[in-house]
Amino acid sequence: MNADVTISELQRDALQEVMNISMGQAANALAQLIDIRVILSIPKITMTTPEGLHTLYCPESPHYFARQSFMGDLRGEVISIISHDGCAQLGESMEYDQPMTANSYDELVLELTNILAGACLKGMVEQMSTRLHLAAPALFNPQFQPKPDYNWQHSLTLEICFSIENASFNSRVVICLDEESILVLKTRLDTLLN
Amino acid sequence: MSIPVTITDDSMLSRKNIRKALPPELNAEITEACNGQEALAAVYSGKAELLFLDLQMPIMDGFEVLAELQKREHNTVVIVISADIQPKAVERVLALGALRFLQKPLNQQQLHQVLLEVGLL
Repeated sequence: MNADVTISELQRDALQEVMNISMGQAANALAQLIDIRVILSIPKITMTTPEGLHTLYCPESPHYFARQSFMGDLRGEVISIISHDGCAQLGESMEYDQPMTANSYDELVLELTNILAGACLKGMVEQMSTRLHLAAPALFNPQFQPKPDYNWQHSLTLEICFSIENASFNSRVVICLDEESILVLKTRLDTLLN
Repeated sequence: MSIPVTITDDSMLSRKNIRKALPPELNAEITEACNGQEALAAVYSGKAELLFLDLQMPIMDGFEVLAELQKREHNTVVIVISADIQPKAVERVLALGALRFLQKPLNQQQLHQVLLEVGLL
């Protein structure tokens, strides 16, 4: 595709605000479950290539990975990267049977993915009057993942970080959009700006 | 008579939305700030009898601004407008001296109601 997928400074500002509101809703959904304040950061918006996307998969400490694809006006994938650290405490707050097993950690990661990534996307969809269908999340291990054959050269990644007051937990939600979706997104952002 | 109002938010879109939502009868003389430091500078130079304050901002966030104003016992009316809608965040900003909390996206009617409640309309 030769269309211009770069976003202007004004579009970036609007998108950052849209993501800021969405992450606030996601954090509130999690905070209600665990009764602990979730700390928000400023969303990060970058353009990346398929190779660039792979650098996300090399955090310094051990993390769980889950992905969910979505279709509709916008198409892409949302990846949740959740630290091992702090998951035991979250599992306890969310009333998982103790001691937690490997299976219950998997369940917890999928539940956190649904809460955080789901609320982020829902917030984005509501503010931009788009519609999309989100598939169920699946765990994956990037080490054993064959390099996917993406049909895009550039993707917009929207990165949102959550951490928890007085705990070592951290989580990132990364929304990747394909080139066609970036064009749709740009139009919607222009509508918001006008 | 006009009232000096400072709108603090790192997002231009959000500042624009707040500006548009202000009722004309407030007769606001508006200053814009992109972070907490600029907000404090506006307060100390008399440009913020009413301060609209976002929480997540670069350089200095809204919590730090509130703590600083509380330390100096400043009587600026602060209305926080934020996406961080967690009850614990709201409790914290009210404890730090904000008079009201409004959630984003901003609802114009709610803003009008809050301005009435704090006696600015």
